[in-house]
Amino acid sequence: MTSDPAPPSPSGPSPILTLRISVRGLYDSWTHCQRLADYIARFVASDRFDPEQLTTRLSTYLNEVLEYVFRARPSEGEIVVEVGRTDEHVIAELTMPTDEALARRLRVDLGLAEPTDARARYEAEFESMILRPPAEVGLLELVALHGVGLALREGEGTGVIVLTVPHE
Amino acid sequence: MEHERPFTIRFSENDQEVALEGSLRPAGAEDFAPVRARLDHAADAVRGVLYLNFKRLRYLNHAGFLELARFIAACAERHPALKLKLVISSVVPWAPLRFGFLGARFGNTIVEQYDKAFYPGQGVIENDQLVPVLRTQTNIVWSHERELLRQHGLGKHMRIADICCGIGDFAVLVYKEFEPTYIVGVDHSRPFLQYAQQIARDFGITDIEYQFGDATHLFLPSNSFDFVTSRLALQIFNDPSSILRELLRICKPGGRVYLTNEMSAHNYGYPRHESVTWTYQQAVKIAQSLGMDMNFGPKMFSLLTDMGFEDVRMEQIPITNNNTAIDDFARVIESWEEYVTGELSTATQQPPEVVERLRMGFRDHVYAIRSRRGFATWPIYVASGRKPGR
Repeated sequence: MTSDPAPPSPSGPSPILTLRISVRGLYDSWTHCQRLADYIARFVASDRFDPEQLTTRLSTYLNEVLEYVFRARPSEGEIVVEVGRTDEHVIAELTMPTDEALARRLRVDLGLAEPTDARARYEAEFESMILRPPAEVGLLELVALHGVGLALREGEGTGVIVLTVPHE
Repeated sequence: MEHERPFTIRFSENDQEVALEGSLRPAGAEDFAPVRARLDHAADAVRGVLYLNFKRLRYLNHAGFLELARFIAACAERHPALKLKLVISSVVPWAPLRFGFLGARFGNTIVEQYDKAFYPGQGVIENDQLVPVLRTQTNIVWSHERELLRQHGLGKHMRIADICCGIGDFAVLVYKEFEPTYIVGVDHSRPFLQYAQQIARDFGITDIEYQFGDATHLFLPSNSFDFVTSRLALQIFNDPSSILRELLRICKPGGRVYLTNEMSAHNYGYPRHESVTWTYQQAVKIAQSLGMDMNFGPKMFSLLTDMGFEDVRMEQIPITNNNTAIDDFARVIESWEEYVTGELSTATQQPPEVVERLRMGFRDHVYAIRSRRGFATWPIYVASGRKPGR
């Protein structure tokens, strides 16, 4: 379970950008997930030495999280994406409004994505995913195959998905 | 920076290949259905091996990944004799992780990392032990090349791409001399790029962009550079035309593509010229066995002309011990000796007596360079052509 809170955010990473998008605005189109992911990734990677590589990686991971948020369908309100950087990581925090049902869902799905035995659990899930519609294992795959960090931090009526991506 | 390419899928029955390009991020199975239909059609239409080419597929979400896995699983049942070869490139960072995972799970699937297969000598060429060789070479060539670049159309404030930039020192020199509005260096060696980035940092240069990339599938937009360079690089690939096509693609109409390559068999040293000549001819053969053509230089004029370039210009940089700092020239040859008799000979399993004779030839070349009455050469061919259309 990820009910262990993620470390509190902004004191560590130096902030790069904050984006606010209405829940309704995100739901207008599935393609908004990738547009948003591509935009953020390009912005964050633009002053790096190999921006194309970092853009590809960041966009891949952010898009997966945004698609998850799209499927989870938070209630009305705003989704806030805050991205910062430490010496070793890019850290993206996606804050969304939650009711009790969504908070429960976040706990379950982010719990699946905890790093312990992630690869073995992903492999185990994979076989059954071939036969039935997928569970929310896209997040687990990020941890299992791509080595990124995912955590959940809960606030009053909000859930924060924290994505931690190594620079290389 | 390149805008994200739209998704395309093409099936070539002749090549038994489905090429997927751009960004594939379906919402689910329904969204993926048109792609699945094309894949199923391709699998029905071929026998033996179906190639799935993912080299230019930059984005794939997990839903799409899963649908591809379902297609592979269905293929195993429906066409048990059919093998699927997934062709990927390490330039797309998620590709080896995801497709490696699929390859390990499905018996009907083979994963081929294209850039390893395409560049047979790659492991040898990209090793960081080559850094001193490249650095010395740039030092020696730059003094001649600096003016030549102007004659071949390089001016101030241009957009420049240096493809196969190696350790990036040429990009730094061009940056200082020509003050480009934008310059990007692309290479397929991570050690080289790390070195390039370190050098740029040390020199306080922050606006040279370096990219890890495949010269035959660049993540750079079409028609976007005034001057595209690729120096001493085409000679080490077994299909230089495919790289030149990419250089042509990214060059603006009216812009120029600039190349340098060697004719190693013409490296010469007198006295002891027989030994020197044997060594370079032998080195060319060894390199050839790794897919390199170290005699590629003079062929550039034909290649540029055949590919439709206009105003093709070609000449030779005649490096000799009479017009070049002797110590630098000798250092270049010594670094070749080390490289050819070391890594290259090991990679191609040369017998000890051949290695010894190779070594002797390089030393005789150095002797010619340093000798008061000796004469030694290292010809480099320079060619450029203008992209038509303006």
